[in-house]
Amino acid sequence: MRRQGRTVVMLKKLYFVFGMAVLAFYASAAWFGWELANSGSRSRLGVPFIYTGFRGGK
Amino acid sequence: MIPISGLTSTVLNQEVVLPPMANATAGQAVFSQPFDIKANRNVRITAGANVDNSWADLDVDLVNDQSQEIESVNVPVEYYSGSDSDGAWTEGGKTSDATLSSLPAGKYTLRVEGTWQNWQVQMPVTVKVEQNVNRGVNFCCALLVLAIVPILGLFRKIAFESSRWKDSMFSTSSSDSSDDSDE
Repeated sequence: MRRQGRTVVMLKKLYFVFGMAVLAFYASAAWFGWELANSGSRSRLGVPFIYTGFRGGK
Repeated sequence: MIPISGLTSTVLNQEVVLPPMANATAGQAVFSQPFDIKANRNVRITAGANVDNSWADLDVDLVNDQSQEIESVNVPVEYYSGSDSDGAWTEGGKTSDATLSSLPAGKYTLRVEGTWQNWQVQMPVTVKVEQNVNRGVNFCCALLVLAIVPILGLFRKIAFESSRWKDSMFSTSSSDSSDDSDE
């Protein structure tokens, strides 16, 4: 029981660290103008299968 | 999402005219006037064409005048409208945009190459380049990543509670309620 409680506390700490890392990455992206999902062909953080805007194509 | 480095600024807003095409597949290209791009700011390119029940497929290249490096995006514009038994309908729009991550600072020129449905006539295209555009994509991605652990915890808690109350006479599971309804 005591061991389980320790595990929960450790998981909470890990999640806190993970959350802070995500927030730091988000702040960096906002500061440096990175876009996770963008339309660029050679973007540093580009996700090529996520586009913006209307994509119809004829 | 958060405008840390300032508000949205328009660095180019110009109308370029693509001359008529020689045939339906040979695209035409024109260059915009040069403009300055600042570093560490995302870039949104918006193209507008006067399409009406037709389409224009535009390939826009951001050319760095110093290094000649090119960043290309495809901006298709199509707009259709009509009416049927359900009433009037529209599809698409006369403007379309594409967003890029930040580029190195410097002087840039837009090269707009396009093909369009009515290729025998010229195609005026309005191009707008903006920086520091506020988008929610990064925010949604961060929120999604942060929500994974609480959602998994919630599912785990629901599974634990349902298994804990499984054999209880006070259980609220569907099997008990069906027994009640039979009485």
